[in-house]
Amino acid sequence: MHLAATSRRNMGMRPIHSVIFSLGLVFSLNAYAAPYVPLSDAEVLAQVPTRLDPEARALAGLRQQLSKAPQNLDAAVAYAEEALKIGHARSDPRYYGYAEAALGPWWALNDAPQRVLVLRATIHQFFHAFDSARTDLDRALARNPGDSQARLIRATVLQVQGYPDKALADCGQLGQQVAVLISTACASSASSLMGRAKRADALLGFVLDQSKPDATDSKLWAETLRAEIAERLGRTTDAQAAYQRALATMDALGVNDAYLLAAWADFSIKQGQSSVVIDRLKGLADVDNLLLRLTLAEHATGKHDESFAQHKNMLEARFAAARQRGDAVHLREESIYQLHLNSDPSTALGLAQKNWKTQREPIDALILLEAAQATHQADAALLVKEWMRETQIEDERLNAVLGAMK
Amino acid sequence: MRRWLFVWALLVSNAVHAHKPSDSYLQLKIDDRRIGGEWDIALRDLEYAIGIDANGDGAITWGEVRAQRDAITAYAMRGLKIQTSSEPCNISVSDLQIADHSDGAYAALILNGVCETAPKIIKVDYDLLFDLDPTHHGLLNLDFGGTQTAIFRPDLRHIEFRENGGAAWSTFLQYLHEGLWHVWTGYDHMLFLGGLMLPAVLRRTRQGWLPAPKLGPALLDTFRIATAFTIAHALTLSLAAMGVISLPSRLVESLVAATVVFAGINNLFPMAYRGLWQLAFFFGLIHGAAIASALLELGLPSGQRVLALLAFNLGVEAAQLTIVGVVLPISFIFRYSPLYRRAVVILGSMVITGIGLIWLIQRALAIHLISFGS
Repeated sequence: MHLAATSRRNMGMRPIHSVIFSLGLVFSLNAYAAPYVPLSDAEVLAQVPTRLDPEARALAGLRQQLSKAPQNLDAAVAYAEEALKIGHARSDPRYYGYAEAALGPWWALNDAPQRVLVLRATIHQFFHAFDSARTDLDRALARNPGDSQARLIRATVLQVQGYPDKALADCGQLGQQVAVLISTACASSASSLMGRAKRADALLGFVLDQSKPDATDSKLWAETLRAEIAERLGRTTDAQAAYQRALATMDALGVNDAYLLAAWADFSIKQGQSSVVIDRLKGLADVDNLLLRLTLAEHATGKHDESFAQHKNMLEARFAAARQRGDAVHLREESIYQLHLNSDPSTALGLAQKNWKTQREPIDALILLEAAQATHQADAALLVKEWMRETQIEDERLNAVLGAMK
Repeated sequence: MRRWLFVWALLVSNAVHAHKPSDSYLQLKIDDRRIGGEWDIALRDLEYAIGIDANGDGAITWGEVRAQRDAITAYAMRGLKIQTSSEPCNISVSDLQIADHSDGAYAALILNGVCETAPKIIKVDYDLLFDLDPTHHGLLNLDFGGTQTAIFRPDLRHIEFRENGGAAWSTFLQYLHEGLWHVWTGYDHMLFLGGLMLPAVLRRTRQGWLPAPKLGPALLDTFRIATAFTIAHALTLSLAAMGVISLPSRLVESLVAATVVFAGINNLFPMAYRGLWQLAFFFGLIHGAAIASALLELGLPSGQRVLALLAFNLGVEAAQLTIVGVVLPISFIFRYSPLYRRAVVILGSMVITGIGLIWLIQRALAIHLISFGS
């Protein structure tokens, strides 16, 4: 079997972004599938950026400059920043690896230059090495407390690790160097997890009203937050409207934001709108997180057709590949998969507990509670309950599972 | 330039990996002097390293791959060296095909080689793509008497393999180690065993504790108790680890706490005089089910499940023997001392009972009273 040149829906900001390495629609669970000789020379085996792709050209230019002077910090940072930008837009870990390679001369230095520290933290964060990321950011901020980028990334890491109070402290120190919408979103994101969700939502609404009508990344972020807050507060109608506004902004930007789409899909599936989810996600199956939501939506419709079976196999193959490599970046997704798609709650619980050691966002709490409920292990929920008490988070989804467990 | 960095930073942590990171899949089979194998390297990685998309249209065709066969082979083989303990083996690419993996098409290099003598040790040096992408991994599957696997990383480019079972030995050691540490760091098992052993060299009579006249029978008694406990927990541990039985952890953990309480109280007010080994057997079943949860979390390596299970059990055993080895000689030496009988046995048992009770309440009611490693 071979890969066909499959047409893909646009994944990036510009149409050119859609030319990304095409994931196999046809693949094998076995990592060591039998090799074959393609039938003709014209057969397309893989898609890569074309020579005319502006991002690929920019990166190639910077790569050439760096190859002439691999010890030059400016050249290395310029290449690494470009690689990370592309890697982020495409959710592609290889570009994070390219950036790491460019920073090679400084990579092992504890006391690396400031810009290297921040980029290194970004790479650590992408690979879920949150503690390493924090070490770098702590150092960067000790050196230069006014480094807003380092502060913003640290706030994000702290929130992912389940410390909204510490994240809020960082957001509060962002000062005037960033746009009001960004500092407000940073602070509201944290405080909405600390028993102040309604105030955070109102503040976001106010700042969004003041901002210009054009779609921007920060607006997309703020609107996504509002949708999530409304959902956690159990305000279903508000959440529905907020998700629609966020999706509209995303469409206006011409991007596919995997984070927003996953959150919206989870919400919509719960609201019984699985077919809408399937329509939007069916072209985005090369993002693991969205493939998971697509498969969940297909599962929720109840008709377990060929497409569902194929998507479920694809998920299983991707988890297997990550396991074989020894990666643990998919614990959250795999736990959801085991619980809701593979009817294996005890495996799901193990994964959710392991995940909880590194990631502590509301969705991580939710999957751990759901797995504890499914396995009738009330004591497994204790850690989450403790965290909920400490943070004072308001989340109707978590409360509902806890209520059902009593 | 700065603006994207800001917002991008915020959403990045939630980014999910659309693509797999870069891996190559290397299979090698050593058969006497001959080496056979296949090495799958992602076309995408080869494109970044040496450029295969000759016409730059973004579509890598089979024709383009074929045209670059020599360049691909030369690039790859610079990154792979195989040696015996004394000399390098000669290895080359005999064919280039395509293999599909979960994230797309890979160039499949068919490998053939020969060593001067049939090797007992194989040293593999792997250095592919690390300079371009330090997150690259090389996943090796080696058939050398038996199947062994390894992962090459930038900080692990050189690995030695022994024929037949080098990996089995390391699995054995790993699970032995896990078994040992599970007991040494699992205070509930320690306390239960300690409680059981404290009066081992004393004789339970209706008048209370009296010193055992001879070490021999005391040892035999201890041996009986330990063996019964061991067999029982090996039984439930194995059944639970293999997934044959599954008990709710809250129930099991509460029962374990109850056994600690019982061991403590039984020293203070002897309830069971004879047939202690039967009791130990029953308690062993409970402890085995509890220990299994640690093993389940660790997982058993496929293909070496029995070996790993055996090693873990032996580790648990060895850890228990060390506890017996520490407690028994001390208690034998001091058996005539009233201080030992009153202070150590009585006070020790009271402490054990107290801690066991707190655990029992915490676990049974799922509330948190005090934390000391439970």
